[in-house]
Amino acid sequence: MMKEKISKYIDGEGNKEELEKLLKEDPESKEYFEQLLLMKSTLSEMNVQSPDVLNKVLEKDKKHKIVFRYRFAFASLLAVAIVSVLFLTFYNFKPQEKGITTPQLRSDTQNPSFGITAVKPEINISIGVRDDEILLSILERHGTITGSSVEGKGNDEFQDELQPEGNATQKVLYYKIVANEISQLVKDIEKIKGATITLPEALPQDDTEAEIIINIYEK
Amino acid sequence: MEEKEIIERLKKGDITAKECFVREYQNLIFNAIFQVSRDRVITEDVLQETFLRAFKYIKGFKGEANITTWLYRIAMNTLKDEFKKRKAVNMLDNPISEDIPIEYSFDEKKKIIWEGLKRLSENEREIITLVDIRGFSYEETAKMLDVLVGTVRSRLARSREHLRDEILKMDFFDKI
Repeated sequence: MMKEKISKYIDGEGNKEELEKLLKEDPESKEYFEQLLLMKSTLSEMNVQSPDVLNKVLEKDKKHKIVFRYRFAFASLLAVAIVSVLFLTFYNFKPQEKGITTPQLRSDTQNPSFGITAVKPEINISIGVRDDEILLSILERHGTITGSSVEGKGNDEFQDELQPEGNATQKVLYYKIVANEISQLVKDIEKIKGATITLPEALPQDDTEAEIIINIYEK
Repeated sequence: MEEKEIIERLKKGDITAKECFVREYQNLIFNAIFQVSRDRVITEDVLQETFLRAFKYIKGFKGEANITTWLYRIAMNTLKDEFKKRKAVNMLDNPISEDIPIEYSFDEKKKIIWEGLKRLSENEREIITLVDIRGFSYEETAKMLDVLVGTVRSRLARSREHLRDEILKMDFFDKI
């Protein structure tokens, strides 16, 4: 208890008169007090000069982060696309007649747009891209960029409205293709070792924006 | 640029604000990490990662805590993650290696303190770093460590006593 009081006292806390009396009357306390003062004084000179990490931080910040924003419709369309692909896959391998055990391919004349016609064809997605021209070029291959605006001057972020081309089926598959291409992008670029994709814990229930964060790691 | 303005501009991703922010806090955060990790390489990596995380999460900063407190917490969480990662790949059994050289810029007195600090637990070193090396108040330290002011007071007293005992064994007070 006495040591805690002395510790407090050297930080300017506690009852000054009580401590002064204690230090006067008890040589052991006085010695402890003087030792702590010396120790504290030496400790206060032990700051180490930090290296300047500014350039490294800014470089990593620029290269390693691509931020996507998408609307709830994007997730809905992706879900529809996945369900459709699964449906088509299982449909193809379903035996057509009793006694036939080998899978049969669907006829080319069949309508391929199962379950997809309900999708509204005019949906746009809004994607914010941070300083990544390669990624933009991939997106451009699958759709027409119809609008472009700079978000904040001196900031590398920009945002585009993307309207995929083609019919409803193509629009739906577009989202899956983009996802595949992003995976391929990571594999193809020599400098890149791998990537992690972070999705929000829960998808938004309304039309507000959500974020996907892709961290890309250099070799 | 004032702190409030820096934070607002950071939320918009402004590069100049990022520069100001790193320059303003790198020395403080470096020392906080260094005194716990005691390794320059780990410290520099963690320092960079701390700023990257700060840029990422700044939009969630509501100003309820002091920005220093907020950044310090990010730094300590990043350091813990780094230790876990190193343990996971068996790089270090103990995150603090015995082989780490004593900081080259220290004189004899400081070298003894450095050695004494090495014998303290992480929690003891942390609180001494915050109060005695960085000069934070009990209240600020309590917020950073997410504990009560009374806990800071008693933990600091015990940590100081422990450090004093260690440096006493190394004749620190005889050299003055």
